[in-house]
Amino acid sequence: MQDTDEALYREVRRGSEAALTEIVHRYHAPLLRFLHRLTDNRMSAEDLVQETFTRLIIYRGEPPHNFRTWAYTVARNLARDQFKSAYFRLEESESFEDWDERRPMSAADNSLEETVAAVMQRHEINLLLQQLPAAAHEVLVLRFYHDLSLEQIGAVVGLPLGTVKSRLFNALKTLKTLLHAEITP
Amino acid sequence: MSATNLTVTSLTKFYGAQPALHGVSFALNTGSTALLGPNGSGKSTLLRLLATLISPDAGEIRFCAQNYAADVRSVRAHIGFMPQEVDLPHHLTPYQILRYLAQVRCIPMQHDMTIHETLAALGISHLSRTPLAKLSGGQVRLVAAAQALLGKPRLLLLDEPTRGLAPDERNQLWHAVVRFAPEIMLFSSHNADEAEDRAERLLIFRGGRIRFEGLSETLKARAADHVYEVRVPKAVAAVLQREYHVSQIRDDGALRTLRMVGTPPDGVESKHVSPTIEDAYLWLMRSP
Amino acid sequence: MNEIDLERDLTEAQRAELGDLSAVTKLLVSYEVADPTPSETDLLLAKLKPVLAERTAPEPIESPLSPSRAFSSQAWLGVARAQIEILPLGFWLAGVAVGTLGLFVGFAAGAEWLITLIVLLAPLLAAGGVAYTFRPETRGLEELERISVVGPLELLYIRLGVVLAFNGSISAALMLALGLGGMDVVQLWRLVLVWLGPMIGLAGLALYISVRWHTIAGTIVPLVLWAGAILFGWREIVARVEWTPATSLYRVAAAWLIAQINNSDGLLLAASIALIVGLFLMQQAGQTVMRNRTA
Repeated sequence: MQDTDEALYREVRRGSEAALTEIVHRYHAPLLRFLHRLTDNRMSAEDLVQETFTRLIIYRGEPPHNFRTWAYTVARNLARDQFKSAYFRLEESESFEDWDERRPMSAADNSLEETVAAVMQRHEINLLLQQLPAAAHEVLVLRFYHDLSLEQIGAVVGLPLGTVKSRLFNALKTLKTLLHAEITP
Repeated sequence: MSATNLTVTSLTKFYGAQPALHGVSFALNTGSTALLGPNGSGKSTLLRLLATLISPDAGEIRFCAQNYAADVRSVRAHIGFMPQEVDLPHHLTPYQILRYLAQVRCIPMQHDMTIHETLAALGISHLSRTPLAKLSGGQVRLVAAAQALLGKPRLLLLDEPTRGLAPDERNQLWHAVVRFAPEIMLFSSHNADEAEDRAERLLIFRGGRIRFEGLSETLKARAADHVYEVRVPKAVAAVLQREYHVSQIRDDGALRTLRMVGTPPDGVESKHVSPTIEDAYLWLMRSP
Repeated sequence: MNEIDLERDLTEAQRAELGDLSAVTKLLVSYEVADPTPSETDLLLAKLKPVLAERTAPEPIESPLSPSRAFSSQAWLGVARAQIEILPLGFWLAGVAVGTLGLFVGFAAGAEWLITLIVLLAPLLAAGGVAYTFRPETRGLEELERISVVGPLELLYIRLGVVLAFNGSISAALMLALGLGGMDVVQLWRLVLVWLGPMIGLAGLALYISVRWHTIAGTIVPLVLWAGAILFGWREIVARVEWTPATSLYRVAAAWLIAQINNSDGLLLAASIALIVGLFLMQQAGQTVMRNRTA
């Protein structure tokens, strides 16, 4: 039977290289994907992954009850610190209400299917996602790509369940609006 | 017993108010690493810190777990260093210089690699009794390389070792390095091709920070979408050459093929090509 | 990628408002990012292991490198011998020439002349020797020396020691010749102090200035200072000696110097101060060399 993440992490804290190897093998890929999507920059994501693991290793406080949530929390906070000026700027300057009037990107295809295909083909999905306010974006990424429950997401981003729910809803609504805006400029 | 390793943690060095290195961290195991980057990006400063020639303002260096700051002498016994600028006394011969340095470094003379063997490995044993005043610039640099290899150091640091060397001298130098087989080697270079050829890993600096660390293949993979060729009339090419970053030019009758790094210009048909290490390096230096 | 049913998290009202989400889902699924390669994971682990080692071992980790040992006397001698090998021929010839001249003068002209020669020339020889040894041309090796096991401070003192020992031994040999020749016109300990004081003083000054600023200044400043001292002494002699046409002024001067060495406590005090200042400057030169490392 596999050790739980929490048990492995306790071994890491005792200095076990084997446990560290196992934890890194379990979490390198998901954390890298998470940070890559959050920052839209592979190189920054790599730096941040290393920094995340370093923080996890040198941490000397109470061990977490849920390692997975905690690892995402550390990664997310590091990304937030590093990109406060660029990536999280949106969060402060724009509200969801603005999105209805907004006319994003350029495109003149006439069906939703074609637009999706075109956006995918142009690798512009990331551009589209980056237009979401950061607070909505991170909730969507954690929910959709990392299958964290809404409660877990609440723990990661430090918000009550109700707010997480409304952010997810707003994120989906905005994304749909953006897609429709592609069709009807 | 742990493997040979070199660990650098949050290394910072200021020259006046200007940081030459800013919080640089990396860990290397056995193997060779090339340092790339523009002038003043921190390569030489890093090598001089690793050589114990200067001490850091913050951060830590460990070689085989030995903290430099705790016992610098025990580390020095394992380091060979070739500085970028070599100014050796002209009245002395290569043999005298190597013998002198062997003595001040307490390298036993009965060591497997004696002075003559070291000079022979670099192809300059026939010059061992000729005063430096009579040697060419390249030959003097080979003497400087010889002193770095003397005593078969475990950690070899070469600051732009091939600068000013003729092609055959370059080969001699790299052959000698392979023969002496240091456990960890770091060398700086301005030549991305040389770095790829001679090192297993790259450390690329910009503005005192590490911009890339890893295999050359990884860097090329990252740059893959950003290198392309356009084939345009020469007049158009002239404009593009001014405004875009062109890494290679080939003329083909009235047309000119430009190899470019970055984002393709609008309105010109471009074709993606697989990047060379030089392309990938240029791309990295230009990306924000 | 697992298909995530986004609608599951929504309320009835929200679902109604959003309508069909399949296009959005499709779009999200298409945004793929690359996983790390096994070698990238290995590299990350290689970077993290030292962090782990450091975290779990707050005490310094045992290093497989053998700790540096105290220098054996044999190693010191080896380094000193190395210094001798790289000093140029001119340095040795100058010392030997002065020694030979001294011997010649001593036997031809008498003990007073030899003593005058020792006292006047020894400091100049030492200061010149030091400045010459630490001239920029020999400093090309400096960077390479600085990272040697011996260390920059030790090297500075070893080299200084070699220069002073050579110059000192020439004067000592002359004094020995003086004693063997039965020319006991001075008390030897007083002579040694009067000789050693200015020699160390000027050598210290030459060393400090050479290391701190430039070797040319390191040569000129001690030279000018010493010339000033000699001129001052000469004025004293001219003022005090009863002058007759029959007296040789030089002979009188030599006799006066001998008398001063034998009787003047002021001269001894001055020589002692010069000795102390010289040693202090040598120590300061060492500090300067060490500071260069952190610069």
